[in-house]
Amino acid sequence: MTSHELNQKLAALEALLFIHGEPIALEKIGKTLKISVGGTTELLAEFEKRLGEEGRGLHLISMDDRVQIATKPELNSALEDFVKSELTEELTPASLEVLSIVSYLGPISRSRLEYIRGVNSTFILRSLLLRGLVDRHPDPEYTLAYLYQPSFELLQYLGVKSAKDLPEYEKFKTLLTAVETAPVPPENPEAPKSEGTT
Amino acid sequence: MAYELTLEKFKGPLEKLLELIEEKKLPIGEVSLSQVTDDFLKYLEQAKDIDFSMLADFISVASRLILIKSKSLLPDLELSQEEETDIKDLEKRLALYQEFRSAKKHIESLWNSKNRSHARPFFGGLDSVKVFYPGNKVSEESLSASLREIFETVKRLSAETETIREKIISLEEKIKEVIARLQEKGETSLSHLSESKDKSEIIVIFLAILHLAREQFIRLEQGANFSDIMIKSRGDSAENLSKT
Repeated sequence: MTSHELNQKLAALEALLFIHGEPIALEKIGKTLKISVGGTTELLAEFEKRLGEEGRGLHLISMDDRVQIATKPELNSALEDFVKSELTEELTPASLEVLSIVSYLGPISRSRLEYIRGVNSTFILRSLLLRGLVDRHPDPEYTLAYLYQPSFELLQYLGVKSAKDLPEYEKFKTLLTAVETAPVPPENPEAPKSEGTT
Repeated sequence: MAYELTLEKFKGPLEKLLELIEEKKLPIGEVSLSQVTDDFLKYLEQAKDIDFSMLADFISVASRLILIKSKSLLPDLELSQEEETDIKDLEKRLALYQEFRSAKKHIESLWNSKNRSHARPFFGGLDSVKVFYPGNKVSEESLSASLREIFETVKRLSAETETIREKIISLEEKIKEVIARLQEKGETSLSHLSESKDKSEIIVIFLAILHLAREQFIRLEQGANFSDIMIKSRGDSAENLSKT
């Protein structure tokens, strides 16, 4: 690809992200711009690098296979007068706990989350879902269970580009492997209990 | 949602356990767990309104603590493989929970910091844009006409209010009636008294004659099961009858 072609693709990508606004799947970007999945990833990486320059006000937020264009968090003070009506509600200790587990360890099932917290978390998860702070999607391995992960809105609110940018992300992700090998109650609430338990 | 609020106010079992261990400045392990068992059970006893869904989790932790405590008190106590695993599992979770508290701090400080990013909503077509297109049939008359139509329909559908009046017959009234009948004829029967009366009135008549029979103002006679009940006034109490 010549630098002229590259610049044209970058411009088209920027325009697409702008007009779409909301998170968009890499696959959809590829289809729209008529490039391969690999090409899309490369193009996004280049775009992100250029956005990183001091003179740019936007950055990319990404999770799984979706990206979104948004303002850089450090600009918030400059925009404060303009951007109001943010939710300034405090988090309850329990919500904060669930939110941090979902942010660091997501996508995570409810049973694993409850295993870590040691307490039933159905209602708190539901309220976080309603407030748009977490997202969920069906667990590919267990049809009746869901996996929870932070929402794009939460990442914006926290001012990070992805969950991986959270402080000490790797450390906590490693901690999870300790839990991963531990026995966890069945994900499917209707599944019979494993033998040997009384 | 009050239910949820009470739920969020309480510490979870692991959080409480960790708090107790840290108060004693002990590392997490079997020794420290057996030492805080009593405190944990006391907390469980005193916290009256722990939510039911949380209670089960508390009891599950408490049962493991009791196991650990018993083991420390009875050195000879042999635990099964599963029980040993349970104890190790509790220690592991507690350690993880302790570590994870710094993650909570990170999220909290990010949450409270003002550095936020802003994105914009989808802007790709008419769907997302507010459009004012009333169409050419909307006028003051058409709106009021359709409103009138709705009003008429609703009026037709709502049932008319019916006033149902029912005469309330008191027992006292009935007693007087029976007495009057007896004074007139000296003898009557239940079927006679209840002729062309509705069920509730017959019940009151029946109660009235039972009442009079108990007071020994009348005598009841019945030839066979379900046959008519004959009512006779007792001759000697004729004067009492008229007084009642």
